[in-house]
Amino acid sequence: MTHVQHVTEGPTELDRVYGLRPQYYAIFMEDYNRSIRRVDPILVELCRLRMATLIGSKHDLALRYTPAAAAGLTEEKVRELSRYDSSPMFSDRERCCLDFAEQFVIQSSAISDADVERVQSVLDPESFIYFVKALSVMDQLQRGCVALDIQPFGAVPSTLASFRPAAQSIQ
Amino acid sequence: MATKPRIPDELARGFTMMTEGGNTPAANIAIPVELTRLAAIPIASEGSFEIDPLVHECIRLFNANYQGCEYCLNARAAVAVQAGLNEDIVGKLTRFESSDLPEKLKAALRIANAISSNPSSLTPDLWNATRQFFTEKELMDIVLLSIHTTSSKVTITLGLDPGKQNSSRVFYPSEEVYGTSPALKRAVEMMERQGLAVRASDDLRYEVDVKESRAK
Repeated sequence: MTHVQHVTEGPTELDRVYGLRPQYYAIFMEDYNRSIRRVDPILVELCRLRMATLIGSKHDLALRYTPAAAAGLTEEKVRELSRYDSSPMFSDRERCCLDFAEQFVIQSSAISDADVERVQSVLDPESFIYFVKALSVMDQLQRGCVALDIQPFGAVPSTLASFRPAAQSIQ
Repeated sequence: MATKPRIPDELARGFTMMTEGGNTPAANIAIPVELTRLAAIPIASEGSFEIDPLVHECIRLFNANYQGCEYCLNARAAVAVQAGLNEDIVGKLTRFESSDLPEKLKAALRIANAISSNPSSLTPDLWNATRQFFTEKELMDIVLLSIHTTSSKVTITLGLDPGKQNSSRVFYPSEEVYGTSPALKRAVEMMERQGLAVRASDDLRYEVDVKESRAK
């Protein structure tokens, strides 16, 4: 349960905690949803879930991005994420972007020009810009969920309409 | 840390983190201006975070150094300067634990450090210890501000940090960089009525001790 004792009304813990700053919550989540929509849904979902494992966001791990499933992402592949660097289920493009997402989470200031060039060999410049922005908003929400100890409750937050509860969370 | 753009010139041109309108990639990934008003500037306005301006600015500067943003690291908010910010305080932020900074400020910086380095280290014990100095709402705002300041990761990763040569001064509330929100305008007018310096011509005569970020 969240550290925050005096929460507001809302269907999920995320809504009840972030809803304490309703204007900020609404605008941030609009930006979040807009930003992830601009990226290939399977790619963004793989990165989101890998980041969630690294950061420890149970909230994110308990959700699935429905456009990714609609585009063909399976739970079998999601379960393989911890082995993305060696599993044949992942393309070179996905591995490259997942590597980059990990660096972004761990220490973005250490990302080198060579690291960027590697990603830009699989993403065109405009896609790369949108990919970085998506990583940023996902990183921010996940840090918030972990820091505030926001738990998943089986329901989907009102601000994440493109998500559904996962049948089974991954570690 | 990038010292030159990592995207083509035609996409980098005109890039600012707070572009209003337009459909360029730069505009599309900009931080919404209202989010900046609510979160990023130490000026209380309708619905914004309510953190003491000095604490607010110290969190921002701590994260600027952590993320490696030289522009942000060398900017000073006029509101914070007038709330007591000085370069002696700024110089102690990166090693705040071993410094003689006030305990209240250290408590806020522990939260900021946890958010940037390892959010799971914001334990119930740390949360409760920080409650000695802040209300729960202030603490929420400190957490959200600490998260918001990581937005600079985008600028740094794209190699678009404007650099210390474009900051290294005091930024005043009426400057365009903070946006043109009516709510902000009302807050700035109130500040002016209270006798606070809100424009560059008010000249606070503050010298920034220009630094490079620790994140190299």
